[in-house]
Amino acid sequence: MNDAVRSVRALGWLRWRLFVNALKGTRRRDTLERLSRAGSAIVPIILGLMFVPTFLASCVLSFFGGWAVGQRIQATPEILGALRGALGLVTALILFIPAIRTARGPSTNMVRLALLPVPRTILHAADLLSGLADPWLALVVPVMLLFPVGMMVSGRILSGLIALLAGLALLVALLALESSASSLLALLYRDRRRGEIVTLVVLLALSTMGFLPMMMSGGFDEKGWHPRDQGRASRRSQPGRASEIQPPPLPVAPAAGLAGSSRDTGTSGVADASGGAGTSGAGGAAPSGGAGAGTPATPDPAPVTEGPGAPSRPSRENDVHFPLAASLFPSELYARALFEPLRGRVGLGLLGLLGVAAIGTALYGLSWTTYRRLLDSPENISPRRGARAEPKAWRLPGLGPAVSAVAQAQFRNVLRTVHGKMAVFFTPLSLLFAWLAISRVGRGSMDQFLGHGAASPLGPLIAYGGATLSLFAPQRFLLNSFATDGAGLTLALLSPISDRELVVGKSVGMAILSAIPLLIITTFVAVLSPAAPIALWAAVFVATAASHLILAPAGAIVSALFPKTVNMNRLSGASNPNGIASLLGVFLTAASCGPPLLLAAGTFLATRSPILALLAVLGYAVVAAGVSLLLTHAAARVLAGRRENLALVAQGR
Amino acid sequence: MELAIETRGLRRTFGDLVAVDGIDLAVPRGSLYGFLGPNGAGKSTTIKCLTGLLAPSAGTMRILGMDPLADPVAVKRKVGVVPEDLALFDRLSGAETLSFVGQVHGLDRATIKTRSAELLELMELTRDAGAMVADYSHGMRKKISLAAALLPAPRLLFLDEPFEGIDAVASRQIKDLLAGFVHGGGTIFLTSHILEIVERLSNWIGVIHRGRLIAQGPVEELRAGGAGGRTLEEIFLGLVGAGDHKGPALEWLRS
Repeated sequence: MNDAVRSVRALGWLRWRLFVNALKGTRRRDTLERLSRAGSAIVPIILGLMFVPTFLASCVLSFFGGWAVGQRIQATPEILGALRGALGLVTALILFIPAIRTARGPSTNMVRLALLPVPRTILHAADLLSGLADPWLALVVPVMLLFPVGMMVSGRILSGLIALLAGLALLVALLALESSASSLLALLYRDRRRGEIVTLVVLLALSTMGFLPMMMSGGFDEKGWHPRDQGRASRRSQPGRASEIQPPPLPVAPAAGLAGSSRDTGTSGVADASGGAGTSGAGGAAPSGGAGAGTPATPDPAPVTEGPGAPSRPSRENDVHFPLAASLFPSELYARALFEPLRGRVGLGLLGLLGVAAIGTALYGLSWTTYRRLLDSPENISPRRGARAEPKAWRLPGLGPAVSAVAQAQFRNVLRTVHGKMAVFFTPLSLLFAWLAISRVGRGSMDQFLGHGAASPLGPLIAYGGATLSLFAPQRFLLNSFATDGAGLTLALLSPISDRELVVGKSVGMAILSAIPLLIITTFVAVLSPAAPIALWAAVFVATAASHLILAPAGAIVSALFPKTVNMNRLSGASNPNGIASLLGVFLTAASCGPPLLLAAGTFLATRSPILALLAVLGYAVVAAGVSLLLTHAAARVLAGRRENLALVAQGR
Repeated sequence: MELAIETRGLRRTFGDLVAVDGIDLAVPRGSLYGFLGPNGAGKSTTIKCLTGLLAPSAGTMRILGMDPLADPVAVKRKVGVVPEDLALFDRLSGAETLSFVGQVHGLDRATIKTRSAELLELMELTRDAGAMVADYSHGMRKKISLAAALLPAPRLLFLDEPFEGIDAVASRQIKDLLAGFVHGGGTIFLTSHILEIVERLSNWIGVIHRGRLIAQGPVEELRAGGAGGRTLEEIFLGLVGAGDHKGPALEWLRS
């Protein structure tokens, strides 16, 4: 027993030190970078300070919420609904957060753990308990423990006891779920390439999540905008359609046969707020007076006749409805164990408790199996794969071999990282999502919108917007272009390449990368907007090239001044450039992409001539090329003065 | 005697720390110069200064008769380096790494292809030539780094711990290759903690301790300097005073 306590204490201490040391970071030579790290360390401290009062508030609210439910005061349905929502959200978060956390990088050295003289069961228990340190889980622990206590204090002893046991079972289930998800992902991440694919998927999911509300919403019609929910609500209100929108009910045991006679099991005064196995069917109460499909209408619970402050029965319109599938969620089963005894259906409550316990046991088994598997072979198992043994060497026209080689290396290095793939392909993807979302609007879909008018500049305008995004998307690389090379920068610095060749080569590499999304976007928009004048399409390419001519060397100066050690295959701030560089990047993008747009738009609006707009942009491009030469010279000089620091930062020292 | 490397008062400081304290190196052309020193003595800092990764705080350098501070690119064209941290792009394959090095040295495609194939075969990396360096083991990285240093056929090689993590077969092949390189007029500046290898390969030795060059010369001369017939290890330990060092007894370890 002493050994177990000692092991758990040591593992707890290890977690704490890892957390504190992560805030401290390693020694950095760059003053600006030290400031930047200090800024980033403040955030978790502030969050930690905010967590304490939130946790206390959660404790107080949980206790009084339980007490209020026991007392059957007016707000009961809202309390129960909020509780179900919160627990459902936490369960969903537990499935998703480990994916993000694992994609950020390994937090625990499994090899080191596997070598420790600590039994695996203890390691697993420590891993499970470490889940309590996660804020979203820590905030619901008081709900699961103090809510039932509040119920018991108000006199609902049996209901409170069932709720407490269900809460403990739910806690085990949630901890096991988080541990299982983390271990499964860690198993996936043992293979570098597989892990990077997972990271890419998570990144894409996070990035495209913003489009979901628009994709799922309604659209315009002749009467204007109508959200989909509104349409659904109106359909729902139609008589005779209730059976179509109600999920099938779960079997309901006869209430009379299960109900007791105590205050706990007596006539229920609490409204059917669970939407679970209530009389109106699982997952949603029927409209007033309605019944679940295939289930005979059951009379509403009797009015409250006991207990202090007996309330008027709240309306079922206040009920929170969840889909049927959600009723098997541990949180929904827990809600059943919590609410049904309050309605006098102790049997259903116990059924809910058994359900949570069964899921908790199953998840614990899964968690143990995956964790043991991870401990069995904690080392990375990446097999070496190589498609092409003989690389194709480029010789870019008009550029020397050294510049071509650097450009090629830059292109390959960026495109083979997770963030590089995102930078190149996210802009066209987001445009596709935007197009799909706008197409759902109904009236005036994208193609109609773009196609009207013989000389409409809208297509080229949108393409230039896409081009600006294409230049902005790879800024993680553009604004930290030397440090993103990692140890490879040292190879470049040891090679017979001048500073100018290095700057130009990297600029060319980034130009090729930005050209990929630009071409995809322009082709896509051009297909939808065939009527737009060719001169304006040409202006888009010239303006983008002019913007890049300024942005790339300016980015190289910023990269040399504010380098930051990064990992471009992880999902976290570890892939972001220095904060100051990021800020400057926004201004640089605006300063380089804005003028050609204003010039072309101004010329076109004044003359209505696409040719003159193109000529104006061409004139600007000549000026931009001159500015680019000066900036490239400056970037080479800055690089020459910062080589030592850059090499050290790139290697993570 | 024509020198491949010549420094005068080479000094490098990091704040208050003096890593290299005014050393005068003289490395003859065609020699295999073993540069020895305990951990933290200043070996890697010296190599970094000589290869242009660190600017010296004071002193002058001549590499193959050229000033690396005045014309670094010209010097790098003649020099190959296997640095301490191997300096490889994680996201390039082994073959692409060699291609990159060949291109920046201005070699034509056919030459790059031929030399790459031979070097990959020598290092037993042909099968994994298309795999990314990120997936290589430490020994494989070391080999590809060495191959990259050799590919442009340099006249001077800087090798920082080249045999660390290399298997016995490859090690033997590399030793033969290095001997052939020196025999052909090339110069090698090598650091290693494996004194037996340095003793077997080197004909010149320099010993650095706490940033100062405390001994330099042909191996035979250094051997003859003391009681005669001493091994390099004995010479080295005698020079850095490690033989007298007594640490804690760690009695608890014997119980």
